Amino acid sequence: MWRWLLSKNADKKTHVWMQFLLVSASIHVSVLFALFVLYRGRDNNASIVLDRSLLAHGVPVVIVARAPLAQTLCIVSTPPANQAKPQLLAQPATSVINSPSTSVVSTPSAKQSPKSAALPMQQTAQASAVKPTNIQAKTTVVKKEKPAAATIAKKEEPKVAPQKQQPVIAKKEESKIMPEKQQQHVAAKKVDEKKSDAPQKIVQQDAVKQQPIAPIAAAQSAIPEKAVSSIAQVLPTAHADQKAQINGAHAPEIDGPIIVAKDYREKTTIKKHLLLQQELVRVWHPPVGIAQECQCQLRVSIGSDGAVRAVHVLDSSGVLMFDVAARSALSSAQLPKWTWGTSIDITFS
Amino acid sequence: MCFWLCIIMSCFFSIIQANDMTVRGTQSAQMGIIVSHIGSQDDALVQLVDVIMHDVQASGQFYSKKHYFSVTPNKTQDIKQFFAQGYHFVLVVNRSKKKDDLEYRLFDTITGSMVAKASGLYHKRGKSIQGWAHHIAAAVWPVLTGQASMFSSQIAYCKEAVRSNGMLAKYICVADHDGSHEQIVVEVPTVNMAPRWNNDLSNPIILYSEHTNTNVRLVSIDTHKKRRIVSDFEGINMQPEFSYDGTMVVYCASRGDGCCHIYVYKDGSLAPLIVNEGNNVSPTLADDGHTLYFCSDFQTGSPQIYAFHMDTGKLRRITNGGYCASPSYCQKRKQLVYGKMMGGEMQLFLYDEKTKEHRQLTTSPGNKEECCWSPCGNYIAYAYTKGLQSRIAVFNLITRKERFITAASARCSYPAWSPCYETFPVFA
Repeated sequence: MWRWLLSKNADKKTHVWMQFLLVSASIHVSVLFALFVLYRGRDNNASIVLDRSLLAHGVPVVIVARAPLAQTLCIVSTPPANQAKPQLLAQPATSVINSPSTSVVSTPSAKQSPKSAALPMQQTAQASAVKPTNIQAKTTVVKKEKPAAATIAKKEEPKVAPQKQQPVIAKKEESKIMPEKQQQHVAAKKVDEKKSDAPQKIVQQDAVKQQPIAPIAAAQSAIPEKAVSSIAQVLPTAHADQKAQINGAHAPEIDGPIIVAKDYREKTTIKKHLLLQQELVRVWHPPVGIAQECQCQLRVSIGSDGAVRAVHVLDSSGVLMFDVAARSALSSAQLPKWTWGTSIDITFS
Repeated sequence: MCFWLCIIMSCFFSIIQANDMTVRGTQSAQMGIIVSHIGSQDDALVQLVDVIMHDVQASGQFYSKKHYFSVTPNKTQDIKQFFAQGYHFVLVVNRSKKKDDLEYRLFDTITGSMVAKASGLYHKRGKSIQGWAHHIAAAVWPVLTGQASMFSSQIAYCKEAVRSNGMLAKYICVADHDGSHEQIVVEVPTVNMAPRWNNDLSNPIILYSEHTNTNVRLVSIDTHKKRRIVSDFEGINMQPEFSYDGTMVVYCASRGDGCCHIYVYKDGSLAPLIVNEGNNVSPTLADDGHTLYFCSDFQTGSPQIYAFHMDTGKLRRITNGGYCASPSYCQKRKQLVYGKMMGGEMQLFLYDEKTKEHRQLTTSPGNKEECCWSPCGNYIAYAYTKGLQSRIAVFNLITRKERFITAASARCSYPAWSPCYETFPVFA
C-alpha cells in the first residue's frame, strides 16, 4: 500500500497524513483485538442465578472444559453456608496438583475435610487417566534398564510424596516393580545361562506390566468426552467410574447439586458470584410473615473502598419491610473485593 | 470519538448486566420500629404511643421501643441514628394544628426519608384514645407488611363470675385484640353466652344468648348498652351468623322440638334452613352468600362438618369420622377452621375449600374449642380448656405461636372476633 502511494506520486503532506492514518488504524486494530479477543469483557462474566440451597450443601464447582481442553477436569469445593467464612474464601485456593492436564483446587473447609482428604486420590486417578502414554513410557524405560529400575522407583517416591501428586501410581508402580525385581533376578540368571533368550522375555514382561495400567487410562480418558455431551448426568458417572477404577480408594462423592462451568473463566466468575452470594445469604434474613412470592430487585453501587454508595430499588416488592430488610442486608454486608467499584443488580426473594 | 464511546459504553453495560444475582433467604427475622411522639409529655400522646407499640408488636414481626422527640426531627441524621441501634423504622405521632387531627409519619432509618404512603393526617374517630391509636397503626400496617390489620377489632367473650349471693353468673366482656382494655358489656345476673358480632361496620352490635327460666333467648346489645330481645322461641336460640353483606342472618333454634335446627332470616321472613333428626349448630356463611357450613350429628351420631348450598340444596359432608365441631369460615383465606378430637383433646384443623385438604394446626395439650377468625385472617381465637383452666387464646398463623389473652385465674369461653368497624366500639 505504501508503495502504491509512492507510485501515485503523492506529495509529502499526503504521505504524512497517510502515515498517520496507518498508524492510527493499526493502533485501533490492536486495541480492538485486545479488547474483544484477549480481554473478552472482564473475565467473561456470566449472568448466574444461584440458589441458596447450593451453598447450604457446600456445593463443589466442577469445571469441565469444552472439546479443545477435553482433558481438563477441575473441582473447586466451597465451604458450606453455615460455616461461611469470607476470610477463608478470600485466601488463594491451595492448589494440590498442577499436572499439565489436570488440576484440582480445594479451599479449606471443616465440613468438607473428608472430601478434601480424598481429593488427592482422585487427582492421581485423573492424572493417570489423562497421561497414560507418559506412564507407559516410564514403565518401559524402567523395564529396559533393569538394574536402574529399583533405584528410579525409590527416587520417584520422595519426589512424589511431598507434592501429593501420585501416591496411588507410585504404589502401583512399586507393587509392579517388586515382581519385576524378582523377574529380573530370574532373568539375570537366565541371561547367564542363555543370553539370546533375554530380550524376548523382557518384551513379554513389558506386555504383562502394561496390562493393568492401560485399562485405567483408557476408561478414565473417556470422562471428559462424556462430560461434554451431558454434564449433569455424566459427572456422577464419571466419579463412579473413577471410584470403581481406584478399587477401594475414597473418591469424593458429590451429593446434592453441583455447579458446572465450561471453562476457567466461567469458573472464576462462578467462584466470585459464590463469594458474593455467600456473604449476602449470611446477612439476608427476610422479615417474618412475608409471602414467599415476595421479591425485590435492587441495584447497588459499591465504592472503590468496598462501601455501599447507593442502593436503588429497581423492582419493589410492594412490601416496605421487605424492601427495607433487603437494603439493610446490603448495608451490613462485607462485599468481596471483586465487587468494589462496580454496580450489581441483586434480586432478594 | 463516538466509535470509542460506543465501545466503552457497550463494555460497561455488558459488565453491568453480567452482575445479576438472586438471593433466596429462609431464615426470617424480626424488624425494629421506634414509636415516638413530639412535643410536650402529653398523657394522651403517651397512651397513644403505648397502644401503637403494642399493636405493632402483637404479630411477632416487629420489636419496638418508645422514644420521645422534643422537637420535630428535621435532619435525616436524627432518623438514621436508629439504624445503628437495630431499628429499621421510626413512627412519629404528634398533634396537628387542628384539634381533631393527629399527624403520623413513618421514616425509613436507612435513608432517613419519610415514607409518604404511610404518613398523613388522622381525623379522630370516636372518643377512645386506644381507638385512635389502633386506627393509626392500622393505617401504617398495610404499607409496612403488605397485609391487612386487625388492630381496630375487638374480641367478645363470656366470662364467669361469682355473684355476692354465691350464685354463678356469666358476663359478656369485650377486649382489644391482645386482651387489653377489657370492659364488661353485659352484667345481667344470669348465664349469658356465645356472643356474636354483626357485620354492619357503622353500627356495631353484639348478639348473645341469655338463660331465662323458660328458654335460652337471643338478645342484642349496642354500644350504648341498649338491650333488645331478638329471638325468644321455646328452647334455645343462639349462635347467629350474619352474611357479609348484612342482608341475611342464620342462627340455631330448637323451637321446642328437642333438636336444634338452623333457621334463616332474610327479607323480613324467618324460614327453616337445616331441619333433620340431629342437632345442627355453629352455622357459618361463606363469602359467596350461598354456602353454609355447620356442624351436625344427624348422620353418624357424632358431630361432623357439613357444607350446604342454599340455592341448590346440595349437602356435602366435609369431615369423615371423628368428633368435629365449631366450624368458622375465613373470607380472606377461603378456609375453614374447626376443632377435631385428637387423642382425647380437641385440636384445630384447617380445611381449604379449593384443595379440599385438611391440615392440623395445633398439637399442644389442651382443648381448643369455639374457634373464630380475626378479620385479617392471620389469627384464630379459641377457648382453651385444660383442667380447671378456661382461657381465651389466639393462634398466630404467621409465627405459628399461640398466646393467651385472658388471665389464668379468669374462666373465659366463647370468643368472637369483631370485624374492623369504622369507629372503634366502646360500650358505655
